Amino acid sequence: MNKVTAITSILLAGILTNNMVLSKFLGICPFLGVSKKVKTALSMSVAVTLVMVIATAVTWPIDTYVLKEDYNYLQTVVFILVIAAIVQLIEIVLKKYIPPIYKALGIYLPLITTNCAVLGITLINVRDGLDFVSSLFNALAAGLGFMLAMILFAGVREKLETADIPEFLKGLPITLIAAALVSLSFLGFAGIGG
Amino acid sequence: MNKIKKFFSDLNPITIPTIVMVVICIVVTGALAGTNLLTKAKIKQIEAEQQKESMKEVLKAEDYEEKAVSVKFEKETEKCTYYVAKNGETEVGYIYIVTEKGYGGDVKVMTAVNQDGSIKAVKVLDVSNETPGLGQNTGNEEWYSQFSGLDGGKEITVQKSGADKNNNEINAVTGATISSSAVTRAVNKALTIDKTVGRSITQESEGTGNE
Amino acid sequence: MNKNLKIFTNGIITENPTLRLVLGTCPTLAVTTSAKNGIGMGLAATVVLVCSNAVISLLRKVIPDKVRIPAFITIIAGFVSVVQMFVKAFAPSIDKSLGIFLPLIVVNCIILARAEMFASKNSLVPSVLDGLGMGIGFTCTLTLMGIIRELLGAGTIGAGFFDKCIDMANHLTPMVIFLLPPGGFFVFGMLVALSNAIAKKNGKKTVDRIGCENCPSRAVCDRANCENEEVAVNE
Repeated sequence: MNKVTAITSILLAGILTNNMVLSKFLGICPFLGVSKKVKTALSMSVAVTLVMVIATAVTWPIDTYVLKEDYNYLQTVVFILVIAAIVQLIEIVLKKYIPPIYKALGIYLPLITTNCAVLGITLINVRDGLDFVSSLFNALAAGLGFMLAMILFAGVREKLETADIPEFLKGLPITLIAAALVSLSFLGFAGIGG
Repeated sequence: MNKIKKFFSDLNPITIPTIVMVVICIVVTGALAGTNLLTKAKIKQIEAEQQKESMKEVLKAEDYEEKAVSVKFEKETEKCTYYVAKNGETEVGYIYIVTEKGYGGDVKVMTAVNQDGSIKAVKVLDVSNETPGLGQNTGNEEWYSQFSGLDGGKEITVQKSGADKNNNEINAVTGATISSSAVTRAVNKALTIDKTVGRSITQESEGTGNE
Repeated sequence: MNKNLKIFTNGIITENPTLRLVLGTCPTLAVTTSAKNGIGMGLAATVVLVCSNAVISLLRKVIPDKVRIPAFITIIAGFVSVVQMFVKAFAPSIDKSLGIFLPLIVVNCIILARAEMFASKNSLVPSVLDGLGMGIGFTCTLTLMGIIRELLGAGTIGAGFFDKCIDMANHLTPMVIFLLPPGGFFVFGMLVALSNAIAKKNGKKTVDRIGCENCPSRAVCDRANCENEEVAVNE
């Protein structure tokens, strides 16, 4: 029972109160770059969630059993290489065995190697000393939080397309201001934890 | 010469990239190991110095002796390190460093307890994972100084406002209840450790056991 | 010589990485809650940028095209870790306040973008100058954002950096919202609007989206966005 409560609170925190994009500022590039349409946003975030969970499943044991305290100065290098390798592998496996999923997500995968949200979540998991199961759920929550933010924001942007915007704010500035408002709404969740 | 050239042109297109990558990885790892050797001692020294400085701030003493004890908490038993502040041979108090989960990550709090069990002072060591402008304000001295002088025998509780010092209450930072509670939990945990270690020894040595 | 000078100043003003190329948005938004953090992040990234540009430019003929990106990332990650250890040893307070964003310089797209767009095509001296210019441009913008957010959000300028910081809190009620995430997006949006207005006045192009032109994964992003439009048309 206790475990369930702990995992629920990890999920709630990752999705709402500590949202990857809107409160930790990780993964801003895809958030602003690939969020023009709800459908693109959805595919991108599914791919990110998948990679986050798999990357955590691989990097956590490496950090705990191989790097330990003695070699943790190699953390950054090892993690980024592992993530790059995982992304390649997932691409190959999907292409060969599950072509329909590859068709839907394939083009987003190369983008993810240099996505700071993925490296960020693996580093946060080991920094906070979470155990293996909590780490996996934390990665899942971060991915779902990313998805929620992406989809909400894509919805806002679709509406913005038809809005009458002052000349000097057209383009990127109004996108950023819209993001400010979305993240303002997420601040309201801060009260959930009590 | 030609043989070498032929050798390289014969390698298939996978081999050369692999060799280059392996060489790069080895060089990078070597460079990192070197830097680590250079900076490791310095990082340790800085951490130790900062800790000592903070200890001097919360409880002035000539010497701090590191000790360890396993403490039974509600759920599990944990091994905790603590510091005995000494002037010569006389013990003047105890210092505990406790980490608790805050809003965005861990918060690290140092608590100094007097010989009589009351709180001498508290210093929040690390709140860098909390929200700037809200939770990070728990790291300001004006806020955490309200712990000084509280009764160590009773649990400290957090109020949104209007806290009563005599009732062992403190005010939360506006808009940062979670960070404030995390710091308070850390202080309460320090007091639990204090009850298992420091007090029992002093009570025995001073013979004031009033159980 | 003049050409080199141009490469250097290019990064500071004409192609300011944050405001004109719109790269490295994550650290720009995340760490600029004070001027001190802005300067710290900017300088750390500058060191990595100059070093990685130099090494990649030297190795540009040795690294096979196939493993270009992984090789670049490894080299960059190496420098980031070195910088991280030095910051920990000599500026521990900066290490604390930048936290997770220090190792994340690895995936800061400014660095990979400059390696890909510039250092892998140019010789040593121009690459170093490009790195230095871009780094200084990045540092300036981050510091500017840090100053604005700190002044409006906490009422101080340069707290923790100077012993005696300017404290305006008595004359100006701090608006904490500027230190929080929405404030970051808002201030950055306003700065981009301002830089766009200046660019327009000088007859330059305005930026209408995040730094795709100079991002190494641009082709992929474009494809992602295009494919969707095709689907939309088909429907």
